[in-house]
Amino acid sequence: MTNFLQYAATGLAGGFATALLALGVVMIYRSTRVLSFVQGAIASLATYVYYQLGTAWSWPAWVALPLAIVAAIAIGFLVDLLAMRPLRRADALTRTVATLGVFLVILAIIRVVWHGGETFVHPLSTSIARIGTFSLSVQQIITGIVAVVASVALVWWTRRTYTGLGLSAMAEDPSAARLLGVSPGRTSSLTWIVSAVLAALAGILVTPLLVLNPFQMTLLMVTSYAAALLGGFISLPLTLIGAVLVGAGESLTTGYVNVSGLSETFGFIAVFAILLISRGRGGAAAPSLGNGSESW
Amino acid sequence: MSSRSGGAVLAVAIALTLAACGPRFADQAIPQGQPSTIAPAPTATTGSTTAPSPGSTTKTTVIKGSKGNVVTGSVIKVGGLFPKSGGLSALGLPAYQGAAAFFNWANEKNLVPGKRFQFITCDDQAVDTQSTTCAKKLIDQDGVFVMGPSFTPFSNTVIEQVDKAGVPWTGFDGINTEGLARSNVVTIGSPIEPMAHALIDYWYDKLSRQGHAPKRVGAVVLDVAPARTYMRELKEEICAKLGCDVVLERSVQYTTTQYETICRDMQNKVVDAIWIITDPASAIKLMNGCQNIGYPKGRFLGQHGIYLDLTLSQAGPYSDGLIANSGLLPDTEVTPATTEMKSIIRRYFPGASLGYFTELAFASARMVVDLVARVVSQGKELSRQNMLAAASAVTSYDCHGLCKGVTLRPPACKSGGNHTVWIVRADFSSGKGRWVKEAGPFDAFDVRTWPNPGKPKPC
Repeated sequence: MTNFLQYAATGLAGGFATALLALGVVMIYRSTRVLSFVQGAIASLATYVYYQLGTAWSWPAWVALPLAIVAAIAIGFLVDLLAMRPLRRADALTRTVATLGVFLVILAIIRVVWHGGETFVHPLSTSIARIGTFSLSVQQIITGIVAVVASVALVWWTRRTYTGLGLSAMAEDPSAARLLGVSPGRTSSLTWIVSAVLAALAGILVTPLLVLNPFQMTLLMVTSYAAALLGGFISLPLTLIGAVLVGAGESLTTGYVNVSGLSETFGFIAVFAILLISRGRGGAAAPSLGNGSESW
Repeated sequence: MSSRSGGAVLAVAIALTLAACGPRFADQAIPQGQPSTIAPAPTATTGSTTAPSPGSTTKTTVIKGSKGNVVTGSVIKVGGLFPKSGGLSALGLPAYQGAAAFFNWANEKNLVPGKRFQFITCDDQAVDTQSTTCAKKLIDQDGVFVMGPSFTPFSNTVIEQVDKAGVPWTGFDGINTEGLARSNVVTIGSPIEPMAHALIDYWYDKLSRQGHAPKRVGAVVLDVAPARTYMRELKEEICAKLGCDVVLERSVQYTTTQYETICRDMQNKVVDAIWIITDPASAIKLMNGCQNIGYPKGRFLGQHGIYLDLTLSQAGPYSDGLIANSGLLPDTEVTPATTEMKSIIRRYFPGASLGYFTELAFASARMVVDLVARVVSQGKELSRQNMLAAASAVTSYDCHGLCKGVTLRPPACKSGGNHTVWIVRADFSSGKGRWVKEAGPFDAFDVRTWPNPGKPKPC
C-alpha cells in the first residue's frame, strides 16, 4: 500500500502539469469549439524563451519568468490573429486542423532559433520537501499549487465575470452573445492568450524535471486530451481531477508494469479507453467539433 | 457526431505524436553561424601536429604544406551520421563538433597538401529509418568518398548498406558489434563488450575493497542496441562470474518521464547501485528524479554514453562519484594530446561539451586525415581500396596520444579493436563538476570476467 501511495503521489506533478495544458485545451474548446493541437508547441516555445533568458543568458528567474509569460501572451495573441481570425468563417473542424499547421510553424521556429537539440532548464527551486520517509521536490509542489490556483481562478472567471461568461456564450450562441455586447474577436483573443499562458506555465514548471526539446510537451499534450475527455471538454474541475488521475495512472503503470514503452503510451491508452467508454454511454465525453461557422 | 468526432480526435492525436516522434527536417551539413569545413586554407603550416607517442608502431604521418598554398582541387568528401536533433542530440551534437573541428583544422593547417576535406553530415535524429535515408543521401547524392566519424545507435542498420555500396567506414563509432565484423570498417571506437567487462569488474572490485561487494544491481537501460548489449553482458557473463544479480531492470525511451517512480522502485528493491545505460539526457532525468525523491547520492554507475560534461553540469553535485568507462585518454588528463584536442575543438565550437564521443569523433577525424595522408605520401592513388589497405598496415595506432595500441586492420572483431579502458569519475571537489581519471589504462581482455583471456571474442 505504501508503494502504491508513493507511486501515485509521484505521478501527481506530471498530472498537474498535464492539467495546465488540458485546462487550456478546454478553455479554447469551450469558447470556440476548436480542439487545439498547438498547446504543446506553445508550451515548448515559451519554455525555450524562458530557457534563453534564464539559463542561456543567466537572467534571474523573477525576470525570466514574467518575460516568458509576456512572450506566451504574445504567442497566444498572434496565433489568434494570424491563424484563427482569418478562418473565422470556417467550420470548427477546419480551424482544428489549422492548429496542426500552427503546431508545425512553431516547431520550425524552434528549430531555426534553437536548432532543435535537447537542453535543460533550471528549476525555480532545487529544494526537497520531506514528510517522514516521503519526499517531493518543491518544484513539483509549486506545479501542483499553480495548477490548482489556475483551475480555481478559471472556474471563478468563467462563472462570475462578464468576460468569462462571454466565452461560454460565444460558443453556445454567437449571434445572441454578439447582441449582448460580447465581442467575438476579443473573446477569441482572450481565450488563446489565457490558454497560451497556461501552456507556458506547464512548460516552464515541468521541463526542469524532464528535458527541453521541441516535442516533450507535445507528447505531454496527448495525455492532456485524456484529462480533457474526462472533463467532457467542459468541466474545468473535472479536467484537473482527470489530469491528476492520468498522471497517477502513468506513474503506477511505470511502478507496477515493467514493459518498455507502456507508460509512454499511457496517454494514448487513456484517450482510447475514455472514448470507448463514452461511446458506450452515448458519446457524452467526446467533443463535438461542430459544423457551423461563426458569424463575426 | 460526437463519437465520429472523437475518433477523428484520436486519429489526429496519434498522427500528431507520430509526427513528433518520427523523421523531422532535412539537415544541413554545416550549421548556420559555424565555420565551414572547407574554409579557405590560410598561409603556411608545416609538420605533423603532434609527435609520435613512445611505443606506437604506427608510422608517423609527417605532412608538409607549402606556404601560401591554397587547396583548389581534389576535395575529399567524408560523410557522417549524427543525431544533431532529437532524443540523442545531447551526444550527437558534441560528437559532430569534435569531428568537424578537426576537419576544419586539417583544412586550415593544410595537413594534407593539395587535399581538402569536406565533412558532409546528415542528422539522422537517432531514428533507424532516418539513418538509412541519411546514408543513402550521403553516398548516392553527395557522393562521399568514405563514411567517416559518426555517432548513431542505429549504425547497425546502415552498416550493410554502406558495405554494399563499397564505401569504407573509416571512423565508425565502434559501439555496435555488427559493425566490428565488417571488412569495410576501420575504427578506434571501443566495442561494448570489453567496455562492459572492464567497467563492472573495476566497480565490483572497488566496492569489495571497501567491504561491501555489490550483490543487487539495478539497471536503467535505454531501448537501443548498444545498451542492450551492455545489459546482456552484465546478466549473462559478468554477474554470473562475480555473483551479483540484476534485481531490477527498467527499460526507458527518450520520451520517458516517470523517472521518480523508477527511482522509488529501485529504492524499494534495495539495489546496491543503479547502473545507468542511457544517453546523457535520460541519465540526467534519472538523477534529477532520484534526487527529487531523496534517493541517496553516490549509488550510481554509468558507462561511456553518459561520460559527457553536460551530464555533470545538469545533474550537479548529486552525480558526484559517478564512474564511467572510456576507450580514450580522459580529456581532463593534462597531456599535449588532450591540450591540443581541447584547443582545436574550442577554437571552432567554444561551448562544445567534452566527453567520450566528442573525443572519439575528434580522434576518428584525425585518423581519417592520417590515412589519407598515408596514401598520398606513398604516392598511391587515393582510392577506397588504398584507404583500407593503409588502415590494414597500422597495427598499433595511438591516436596521437589519445588512444593506445589500436589495430586498425578490419575486421576489428578479429584484430581486437580498441580494448584499452580508462575509468573516469565525476568529481565535484573543486565545486565545479568535472570527469577525472580514476583508473587505467588497462586491457579489458585481461579482466577476470572476460571469457577469452588476452583475446577478442570470436566474431
